[in-house]
Amino acid sequence: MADNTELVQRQVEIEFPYQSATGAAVSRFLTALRDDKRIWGLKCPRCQRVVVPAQDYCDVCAEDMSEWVEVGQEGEIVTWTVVRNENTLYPHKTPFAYALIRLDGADTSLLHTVVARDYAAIKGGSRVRAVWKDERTGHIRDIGHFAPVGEEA
Amino acid sequence: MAEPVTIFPRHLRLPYTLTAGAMQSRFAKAVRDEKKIYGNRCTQCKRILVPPDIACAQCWADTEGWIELKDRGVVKTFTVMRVPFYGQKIEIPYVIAQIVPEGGDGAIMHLLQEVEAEKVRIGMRVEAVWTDEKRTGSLADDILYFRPTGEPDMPIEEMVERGWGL
Repeated sequence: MADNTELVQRQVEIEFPYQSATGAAVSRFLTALRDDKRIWGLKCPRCQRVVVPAQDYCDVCAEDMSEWVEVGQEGEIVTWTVVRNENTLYPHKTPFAYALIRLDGADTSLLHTVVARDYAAIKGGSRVRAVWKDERTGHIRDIGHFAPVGEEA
Repeated sequence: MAEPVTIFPRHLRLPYTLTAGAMQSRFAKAVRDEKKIYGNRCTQCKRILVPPDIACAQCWADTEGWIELKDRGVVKTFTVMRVPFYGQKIEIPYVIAQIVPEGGDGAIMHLLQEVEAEKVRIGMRVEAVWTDEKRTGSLADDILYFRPTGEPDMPIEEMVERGWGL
């Protein structure tokens, strides 16, 4: 068959409309995002780490956690990757960055997005701050993104 | 405030662009532009494969030819869908059948309509109902469904003789 055959293409979309039950800790964590624009972690009674997002058990010690600790709206970038190609599934126009962010007072990193003016200026330890959505539904993306401190507007 | 959050939505979407290879593209263009179904022949078992393939799935032998088939055929086997599910577009109960187009040995899977589920039989003669809207080259899109022609069934003995795996 000739190599210059016009190849037929077709758009297909597969959907998986899943819902998960949050469990007690994540329920409280997400509700606080929606209602108070506050970010809470849980402190492990054994290793003393503050785990954010809150979860019912310490992922290191497997201990029950029940001591709620509010963490900062700011934190530092631990690691990041800049996304430059377009994709309709992305939460932002490109470029933006996916980043692990250690919020002030937390001992774990939160996976979220960073929208910045200059991605070349991002370094490990760069300070970022949560930028909240006005319309919040109780989802981790009630925080629209994190922005370098001073660029939140 | 409002009720506490108890559900975390995980609505996953996988938007693919499927690209047909050279042979499947040739097949698809005939479907899309001419409303024609083609097959090709296994050089070893001589069965006419539908849709055409670069090799016979049973013999692993090369294929040859480019054979025009009819857009009508025989119900080789079928199943009745009675269970509702998310995203279902067809009213239940409905029938999905494997249909061997006249002139071929391979089967294509499609919807059977204009017949009650209880009346569908193996060997039933059916014909394609094409659409002129949004032709994609996929039989699933360009043929809306198959429907019975009312002609006498193909006897099971003949289907066995043809080696249709009955």
